[in-house]
Amino acid sequence: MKKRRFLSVLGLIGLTAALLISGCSSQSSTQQGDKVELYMGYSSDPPTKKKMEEIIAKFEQSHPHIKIKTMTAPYDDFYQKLTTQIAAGNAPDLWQSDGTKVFGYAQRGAILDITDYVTKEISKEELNGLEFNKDSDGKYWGVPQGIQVGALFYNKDLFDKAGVPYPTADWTWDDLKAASVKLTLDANGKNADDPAFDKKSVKQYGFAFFGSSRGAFNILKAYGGGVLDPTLTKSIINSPENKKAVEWMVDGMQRKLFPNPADLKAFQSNFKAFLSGAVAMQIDIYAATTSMNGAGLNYDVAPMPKGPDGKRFAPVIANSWVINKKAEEEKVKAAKEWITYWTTSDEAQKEWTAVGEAIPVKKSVANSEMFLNPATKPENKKVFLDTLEFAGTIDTNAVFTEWVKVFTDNLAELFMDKYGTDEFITKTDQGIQKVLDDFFKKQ
Amino acid sequence: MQKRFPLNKIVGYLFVIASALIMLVPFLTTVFNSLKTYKQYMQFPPEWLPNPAQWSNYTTVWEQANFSSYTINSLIVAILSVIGALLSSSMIAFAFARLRFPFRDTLFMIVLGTMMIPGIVTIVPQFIIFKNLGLLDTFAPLWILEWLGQPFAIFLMRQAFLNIPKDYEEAAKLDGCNPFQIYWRVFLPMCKPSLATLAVFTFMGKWNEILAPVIYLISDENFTLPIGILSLSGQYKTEDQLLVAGALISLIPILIVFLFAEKYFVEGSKTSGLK
Amino acid sequence: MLELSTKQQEKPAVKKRKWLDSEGRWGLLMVSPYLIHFLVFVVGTSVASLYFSFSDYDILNPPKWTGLDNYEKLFEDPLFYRSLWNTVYFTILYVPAKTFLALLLAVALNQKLKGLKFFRMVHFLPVISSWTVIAYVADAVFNQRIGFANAFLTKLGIAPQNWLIDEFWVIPVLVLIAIWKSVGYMMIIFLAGLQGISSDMYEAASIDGANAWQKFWRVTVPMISGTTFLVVILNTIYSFQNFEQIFVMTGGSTEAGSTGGANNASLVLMLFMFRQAFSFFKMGYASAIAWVLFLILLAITLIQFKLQKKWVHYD
Repeated sequence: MKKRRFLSVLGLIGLTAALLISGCSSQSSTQQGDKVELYMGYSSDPPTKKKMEEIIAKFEQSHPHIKIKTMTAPYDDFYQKLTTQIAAGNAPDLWQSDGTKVFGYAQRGAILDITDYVTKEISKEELNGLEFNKDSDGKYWGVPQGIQVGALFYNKDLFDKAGVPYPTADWTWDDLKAASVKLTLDANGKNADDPAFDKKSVKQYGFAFFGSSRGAFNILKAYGGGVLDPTLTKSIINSPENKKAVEWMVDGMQRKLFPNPADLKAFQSNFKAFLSGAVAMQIDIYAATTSMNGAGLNYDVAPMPKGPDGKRFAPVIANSWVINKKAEEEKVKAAKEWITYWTTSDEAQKEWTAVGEAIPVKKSVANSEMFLNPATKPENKKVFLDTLEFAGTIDTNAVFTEWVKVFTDNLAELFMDKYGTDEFITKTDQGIQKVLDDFFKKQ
Repeated sequence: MQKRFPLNKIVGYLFVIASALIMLVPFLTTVFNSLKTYKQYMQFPPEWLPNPAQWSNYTTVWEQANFSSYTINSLIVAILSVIGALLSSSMIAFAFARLRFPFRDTLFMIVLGTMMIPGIVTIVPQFIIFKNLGLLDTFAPLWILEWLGQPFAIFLMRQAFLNIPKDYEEAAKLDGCNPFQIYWRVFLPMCKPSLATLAVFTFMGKWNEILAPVIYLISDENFTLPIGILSLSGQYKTEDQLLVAGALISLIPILIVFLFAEKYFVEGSKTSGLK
Repeated sequence: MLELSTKQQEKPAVKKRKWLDSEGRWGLLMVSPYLIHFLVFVVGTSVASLYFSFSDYDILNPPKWTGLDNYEKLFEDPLFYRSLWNTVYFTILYVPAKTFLALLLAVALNQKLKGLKFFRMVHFLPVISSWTVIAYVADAVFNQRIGFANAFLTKLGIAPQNWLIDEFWVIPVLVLIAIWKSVGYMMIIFLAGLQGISSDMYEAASIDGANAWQKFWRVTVPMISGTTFLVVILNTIYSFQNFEQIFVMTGGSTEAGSTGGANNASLVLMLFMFRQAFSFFKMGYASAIAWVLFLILLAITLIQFKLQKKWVHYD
């Protein structure tokens, strides 16, 4: 009796194990007639979803042999869903990836290497940002879906009020700080130059920066420093150039020209500081224009300032189409057709540009009146296109989110005066190198 | 209960009113925020009152978050879950509370134990199980566990059943009731307050649940309301005022369920005089 | 074996019971849905996640067995100790205060007051409000620049505080806000429990000349102890798994790596784990954290079950 009981329990446990283990085989799915069903994933909000559905409908019209099935989720949950699906073997054949996440999936073997396709079938001269998905071995992992590039956003009203001339293309970071002094005001309206300036009651700040693409990374680069070496596997934090840049930032924080993390926190959200008109300048990416226009801000953009040696840097994020490594051959073919359609068709490009979230991938559309339209803010949209000439990635690699966490945490402590520049540099250097070694040494 | 002490009553009132005010503030703030424009929402320092009240936020969010179709999906999931929790989880709880059977205490410890393992580390294997059961993109993964005994429900109902004096059980046994009849005819009716509590909590939990629907549902027509609302928060721009308006509309069904269940919160006191 | 339910064990074992008598069969039958649950969902998922905890598992590729690696790394990770301490500290402040307040509210709302329905519903409102909304309102109190709290301190001549960033303040403030949001939830459980107390007991106490406060301590508290026990256990588990609040309230930016506060003053275990699992692709490591968390919670719960005999009154 006891034995039988034991055996039946064992049998049931075996059954559940079977349920689990058979999980990793990918099922070959439906194919009606000659139609290929392409399974596509993208994160969306209502306006982007609506647009994407329209573009898909147009694509299906001109490509009658392909039917697109979509998987979409709000941005916050999309990658968790995608990752789970990859684990279970039923992920989309093609998905739209945040530019900062391409290498994370690629270097863990989830994305198809499309170097061949990119070099043979895509004309580099016609597209923006193709190079940003190339890794240090020269492999391509994705094709841009929309480009984000950083610039210096400034609030025209605050400049006018302070009588300070608008930022120009010749500005250095020191020029920016000099302007910040006049744009930083306390509760009595006295600026930071005034001897009676009260640091404890700052009402308006000159310049704000935070996070990765909007943050200190850009300033380090302009000063000739940076975070990772070109192979993206070594920390180069410990350099005199970085030290100089960090000192420049800390000085600004201490003089209260730039809000520190606690000051930003007081605005409920980092973005609200600039959006509510309490900060005169901020580094941001093109997509920020949608919320700034929504907030009715009177603003424009200028190129990122130069470092002391005239070096310029601006961040770029190329959100991209990537193909699932496990996708079947026909689906890969269909996915490539979609990518080709997306990047070359004027109709798709114009539709997507109308959403206003990204710089068009196709150069001819980016240079057209449709994108540069001076009727909507910012007037000087050309800045974004010119910036692409000197912009670079924000050292996105397989462990991007992890090293950024170390970097931003340590910066926050530095800016809150928990420790000094030297300690920041050694601590961050070690911390980031540990994250990198943890992944790259293992391989 | 304490009619003879008017002073107690006054103290009681003061306490209740003070705490009600504290509780009411977030709700009023939500209502006001839902009527702001994006521009006003982004103002700092924030203004409490919307100026002017933007009623169109409600129609916009109704359309954008696809309320009309997602609401039905959410209702199906929530109602199936509530029924499952009330019938099935309470029956399981009764067995744990009042019957002796092999492995009972071990099994109950397992019930509690599953509450202690964070869902985030079991979501991948659970997804694979549902995939192999062929239940992806159906509502089943969202309500089936309520029918198979959901830990919180079991724990709550077990505690309620434990509180019932033994005499009732003995009396029913003498009448020739089997354990299921005891559960169904004697114990369930006596635990209405706890059942009402369970119904409210299950409804609320399922109605607001976001992670499981996002992971298990694929087709747009199967999405539940929280997905629709959360999708308003985009990668680059979040229309906070719409998000708040959407969240506010979606509270209404929970409040209805609460008001409906509320009368049962006092039900038990009538029967407990029996003893 | 642990004696989980105090009552039935008191039954003297007069005759040796068969392994499966009629009551046992009924028990198994009635508990059978959970047996299916257990076999299909619990066994598989927990064995899998336990296996992950001994593996190098990035979710995208099959797990590779690495033995105790993850656990060794975990016990050397200063962030683990930091987040564990923050979690424990949070729990110590949160559970007793919330349990007591919830009981007090339930008693207050169990009186025959005018507008009772309204008052009860009002207390349920923060429970159903989202954390985003709660964070927005809490900001009105604890905002460094415009909050009431600092305005009040300034009036008293005390320096304003950075409530949600300051290492000393952040956890107590988060606890306060968490109680405010969720006290209504436990209040409802208590309210249901209060219906089981017969009014005779109060009348008897009144005859003995007890005042309201004495009745609360002598009748309500002991009679509701079974519910209190449930509430304490649930609160402990919830407190250890608190995640969304910290995520929403100490974030401030959607960019990666901004939550948990500066110096990780508000980094809690769940947040630490969540980040490892899906943001850093370290599901193996996250699973190890989860199992350590599980063991801690299990130990606490077992102790609570042992102790319940001393103070929990059934029947």
